[in-house]
Amino acid sequence: MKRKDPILQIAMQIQRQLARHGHKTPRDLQDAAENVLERQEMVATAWHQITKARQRGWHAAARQVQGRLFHQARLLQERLTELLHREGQHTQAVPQVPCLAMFMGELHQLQQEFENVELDPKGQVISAQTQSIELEGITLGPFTIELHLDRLGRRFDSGCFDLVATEPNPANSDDAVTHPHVRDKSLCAGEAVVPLSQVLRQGRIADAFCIINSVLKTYNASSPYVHLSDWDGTSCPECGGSVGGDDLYRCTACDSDLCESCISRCDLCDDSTCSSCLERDPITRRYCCPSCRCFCNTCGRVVEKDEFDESTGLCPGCSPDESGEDTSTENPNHEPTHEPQPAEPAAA
Amino acid sequence: MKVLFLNNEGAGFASHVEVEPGTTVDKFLAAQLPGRNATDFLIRVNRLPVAADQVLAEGDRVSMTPVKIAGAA
Repeated sequence: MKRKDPILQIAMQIQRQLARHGHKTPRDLQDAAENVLERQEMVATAWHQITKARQRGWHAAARQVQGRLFHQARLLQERLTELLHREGQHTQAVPQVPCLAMFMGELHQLQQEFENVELDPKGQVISAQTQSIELEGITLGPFTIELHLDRLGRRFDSGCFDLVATEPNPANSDDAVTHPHVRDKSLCAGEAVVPLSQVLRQGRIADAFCIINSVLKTYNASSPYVHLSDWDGTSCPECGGSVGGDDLYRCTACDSDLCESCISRCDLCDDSTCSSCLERDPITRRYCCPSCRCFCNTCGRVVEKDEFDESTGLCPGCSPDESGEDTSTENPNHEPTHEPQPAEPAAA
Repeated sequence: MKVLFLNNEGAGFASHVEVEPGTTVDKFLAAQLPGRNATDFLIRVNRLPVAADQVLAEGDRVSMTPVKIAGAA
């Protein structure tokens, strides 16, 4: 095999990354060990004080420090317990780095599992293309899964990967979402987090790509960046047209989201209001939202609030004017009202 | 005899499993994952696709990866 063989070069890079970062002691183990040493020193200090006090005949002082000695010993015991508790956790935290042949086997398997596998030793990237992904009738196209080896070792999660849509069909509401579980080329691995971490730590590159491919082929409707039902945009409830998220307008009265063509405005307060929530004052001919209109208690017509008499609950046409005369004849919608008749004198 | 079993589901453990000589791949999976459907997994023996009735040999490397894994946001 030639030294310049990309499979050999990439395999060496993977091995180097895992070996470089595998020797680091996990932080919690380091802290636990240092805590034990600290307490051990406190016990030693207390015992040294006791010994000195006894030598000088200061027996009362020695007895006092003795209490401190046992206190520190109990704390040391706790710290030892914490350290020993980590024994089982960290037995497999620093696995043996596999041999080069294993990594080369992984790369050969990757070439069998995927199309268009590219090995870029200079850029330290392994890439493989999936088949076209289709979820619930929506074609998302193929994805190129890129493993960036410079990230591997520092982390063992989907952050080592970029997922590039090669024939993108992003969500209408967000160009960055090319798959329900991919945004900005980053996969949210969900149930794949744990198995992906395990296979990356063990250098099982082919399995890592297969796991990511499985996530791409699955739609988790309970937790997508964009639901597939909204992938091509939200449907306008007025006209039924498909509209992207940025092109939706909310009716302040009923909270419906409508397209630009179907949204209107209140002529009084200028709020965005759908046509279903607007009613027109037949006299002023202005369209009013629910907040800006009232209804006459007598004739029942729509009255814009600027014209409405709140004290009487009447429109201008039904309201008596200041002289007390009924001005209802001015209102074309009103029935003629009857003038109150004087009361008949009581019979003698 | 022993085979290396790489289960890429859940905790994704890898372990040596003792099997009877003559055990086929489908019987092995039925024992390891009772009640599960083999078509739900990508199954490889020594990195190669295999038939369900292939007989396992000493030291074989058996891996299985779910074909559907739920992502998130």
